[in-house]
Amino acid sequence: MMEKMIFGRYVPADSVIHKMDSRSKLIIIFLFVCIIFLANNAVTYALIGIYTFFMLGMSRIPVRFLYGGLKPVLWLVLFTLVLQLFFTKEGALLVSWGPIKIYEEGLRMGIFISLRFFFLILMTSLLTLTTTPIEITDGLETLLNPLKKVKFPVHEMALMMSISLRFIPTLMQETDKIMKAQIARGVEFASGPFKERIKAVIPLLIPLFVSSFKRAEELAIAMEARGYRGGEGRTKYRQLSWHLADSLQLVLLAMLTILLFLLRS
Amino acid sequence: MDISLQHIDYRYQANTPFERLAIEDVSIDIPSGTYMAIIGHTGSGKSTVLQHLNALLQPSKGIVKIGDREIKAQQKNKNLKHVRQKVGIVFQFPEHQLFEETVERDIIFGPLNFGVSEPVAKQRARQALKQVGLAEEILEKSPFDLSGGQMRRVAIAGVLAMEPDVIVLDEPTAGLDPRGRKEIMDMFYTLHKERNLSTILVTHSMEDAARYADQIVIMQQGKVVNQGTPEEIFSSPVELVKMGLDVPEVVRFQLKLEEKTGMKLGKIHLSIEELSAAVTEALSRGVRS
Amino acid sequence: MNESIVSLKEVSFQYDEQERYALNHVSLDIYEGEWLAIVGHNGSGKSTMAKLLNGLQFPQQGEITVCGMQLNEESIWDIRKQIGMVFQNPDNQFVGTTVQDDVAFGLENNGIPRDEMVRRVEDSLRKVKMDQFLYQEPHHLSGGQKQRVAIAGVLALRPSIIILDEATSMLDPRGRGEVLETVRLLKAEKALTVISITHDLEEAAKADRIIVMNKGEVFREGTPEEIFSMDEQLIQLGLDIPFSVKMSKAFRQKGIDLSKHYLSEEELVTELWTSRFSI
Repeated sequence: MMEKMIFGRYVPADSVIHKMDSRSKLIIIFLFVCIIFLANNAVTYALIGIYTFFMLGMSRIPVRFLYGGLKPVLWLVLFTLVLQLFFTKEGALLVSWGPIKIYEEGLRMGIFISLRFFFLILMTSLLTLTTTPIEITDGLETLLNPLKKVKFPVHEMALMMSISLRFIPTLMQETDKIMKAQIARGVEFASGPFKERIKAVIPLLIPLFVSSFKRAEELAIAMEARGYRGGEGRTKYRQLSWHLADSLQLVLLAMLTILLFLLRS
Repeated sequence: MDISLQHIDYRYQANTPFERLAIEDVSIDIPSGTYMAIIGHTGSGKSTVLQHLNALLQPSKGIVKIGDREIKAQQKNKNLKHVRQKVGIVFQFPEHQLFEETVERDIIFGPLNFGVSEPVAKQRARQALKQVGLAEEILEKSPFDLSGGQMRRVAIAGVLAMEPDVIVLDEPTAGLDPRGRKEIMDMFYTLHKERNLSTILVTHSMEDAARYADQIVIMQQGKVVNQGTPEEIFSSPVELVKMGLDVPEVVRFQLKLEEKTGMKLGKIHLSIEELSAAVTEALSRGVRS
Repeated sequence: MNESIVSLKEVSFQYDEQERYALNHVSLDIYEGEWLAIVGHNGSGKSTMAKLLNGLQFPQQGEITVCGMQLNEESIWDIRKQIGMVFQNPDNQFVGTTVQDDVAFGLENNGIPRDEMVRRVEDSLRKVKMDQFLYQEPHHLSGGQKQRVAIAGVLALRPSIIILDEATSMLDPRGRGEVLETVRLLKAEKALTVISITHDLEEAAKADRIIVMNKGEVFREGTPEEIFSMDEQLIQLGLDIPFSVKMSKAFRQKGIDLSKHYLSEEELVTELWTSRFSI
C-alpha cells in the first residue's frame, strides 16, 4: 500500500523539469493554482490540459507509475463528478431515469470541476515527483526570505523542515524495530477488536516518543557543539541556480495566462 | 524445543522496484539445548535470520520449524502467540521497548499478553529481576528514571518473565562497559545451563562466540558460509580473515606465535589458560630435546 | 613533553537533582599533539568531562583553559572552533540531509564563504575517505561511515583538538576499526590533539597517555604500560585488561619469566621466542 503511494515521493530522472530551480517550480505551481480558475469553457480547459500533459511529458516520469500512484485519487475525482451530476439542477434535462435526473449544467459543471481537480493533482504531484524535499525547503526559504522583515522565523522553519526530512527514514526504522520487539512480547497489532487495537498502539507510541525526545536532545547538543547559534551570520552551502529554462518556463506560463484571458467566455 | 530452518529465502519489499534478497537458501538446525552463535558483518543477513526464529518474518521460500509448528512460505500463519511465548527475543538495545509506568508493569507485560495470571506474572517479575541482578526496590520505580544499564536489565527481565524455552539474543551487550558486558553474558550462560534452554546469540564478538557457543554459524551476504563447533570454525582462521572477520584474540596470538617462532602446537586453543599451558609445555620440551 | 593545550584546575561539577558530584576537584593538563585516552566505567565522570571542555556544561567550581582562553560564556564560541566533538550515537549527530550538507553544517554556522566551504567539504571528506559519498543520505550509510562523516565535519572547521566521546561504542568491529584508523592517520598527518573517551582498553592501549576516572575523580594517570600494570585493580574499577596483559599473566603463573609487565602482542611473541633458550 505505502509502496505505491506517490505523494511526496521523489523519483530521480534526468529531465528538464528535474533540473529546474525549485523556486521557479514553486512559483509556477502557485500561479497555476490561481490561473486554473480562469478556465470556464471547453477551449480553456483543453489549453490547461495540454499544458499539464506537456509538463508531465517533459518530466519523463513513467506513465504507468503515475497511473498506479494516482489510482486512489482518481476515485475521488470521479466522486466529485458524480456529486455535481446529481446535485446541480440547472439547464435542460438530459437524462431522466427513475429518481435519477441529470441536467445539462450538472454535466458541464461536473466535467469541469473534476477536470480542474485532476489537473491540480497532476501538477502538484509533478512538483514533489521531480524535486527533492530538501530542494523544496530551500526554495521556500529563499522565496519567503522577505518575510524575515516582519519577524517571521523563515530560517528556523526551513531548518526544522530539513531536520524532519532527515529523520523520517530513521524514525521509520525505529518504528519497525519497536513494533517487532512488542510483537515478540505478545502484542497483536493487526487483529482483534478496535478497542484492543487502540490499546496495542500504546506500547509502540510511548517508546517512540521517548526515543524521539532523546534524539532531539542529543541532536541539539551536537548542533551546539558544532557552533550553531541561530540563523544570524550563517552562510549557506546549498545553492539554487536559476537557468534559462526557468525563465522560459515562466514565459510559457505567462503566455498560457494571456491565452486563457483571451479565450475564456 | 527444536528449531530448524530449511532452505529459506527472504525478500524485502517483494514485487516492487526496491525488492532485495536478504537471505538465500539458509538451512540451520538448532536442537533443543544448543548454544548457537551466529556471526557475520552488518548486512550479512543475520538479523533477518533471527526474525524467522519466532515468525516475525515469514520466509519467501522454504520452511521454518519451531517445535511442532511449521511456518511455510505463501501461507497464512495464524495464532503465532504460542510460538512467540516459547521463543523470547532480546533485541539490540532492548531498553528502547520499555513503556510502562513502573518496572513491574513492564516486566509483566509479556506474560499477561500470553495469558499468565497477574499474581503469577508478578511472582515471575520478582524472580526475573533477581536473575538480571537488580534489587526488588526498583519494581515500583519508573523505568525511565533508571540508568542505561539498569534499563537494559529490566528489558531483559521482561523477556525472561515470559519463561521461554528458546532465547534469542541480538547483540545484547552493545554499548555496555566491560563489567556490564561480562555480567550479562555470564547471566545468560548460567540461565542456559540451569534451565536447559536453547540460546541463539547473534554477535560480532568472536570472543563471546568462542567462550559460550557449542555451535557457530558464519553468515556472509545472505548465505551460510560455514557451520561447526568453535574448534572446527577457528581451526581454519585464514578463511575467516579472508571474509574480513576477526579471529578470537587467543587464536590470533597462537597464529602469530607459530608463524614467528616456528613452534607447532598441533590444535587451536580457545582459552588463555589452555594456550599458555600448551606453549609452556612446548617450550620446556624444546629445551629438553 | 609539549605545552599544555587544555588545563583543568580544581574543577567540580554536579548535575541538578543529584547528590554526588559527577566531577570532584579534578585537575589535569592535556598536552598539544598527544593522544589522550580517558577511561572509566559508565558513570565515572568521563563523559561529563567532555561536555565541560567545550562549554556544553559549565563547572560550579574551578577553571578550565583551552588554547590559552579561559572558558566562559563569552569565549565558548571561539573555543568550540578549537575543539571538535564526535559523539556516541552516529544518528543523533547527523544534521544534514546528505553527507556533504552535514559536513557543511559547522561551516555554515561559522559564516564561512561558500567557495571556501566547497573546498573544505571536499577536502575533509577525502581525508576520512568518504569523498565517494557526497550525495548519499544518512540512512544508506553504516554506523562507521556516519562517524567518519562526523569526523569530517569536525575537520572542516580546522580545530586543534578533537574529542571522541565514546565515538566507537555503538559500532561493529569493522566500523570501530575504520574510525580508529582514520583518527590515527589524521593525528599522524598533522598536529591534532586527540582526546578519546572510551571504555575500550584495546583502543586506550594505542594512546600516548591514559587517565583512569573513578567516581568523578582522576584515579590514576600514566602511560599505557603504567596503567595496565594496575592489573586486577582495573577490573575492580569495572574495566577490562588488554589481551596481551592477560596472556603475559598466564605465562608468568606457569613460571615463564617476562622482562616487563606490559608487553604488546608482538613484544610478547618475541619474549617467548627468546625465552625458548632460557628455561
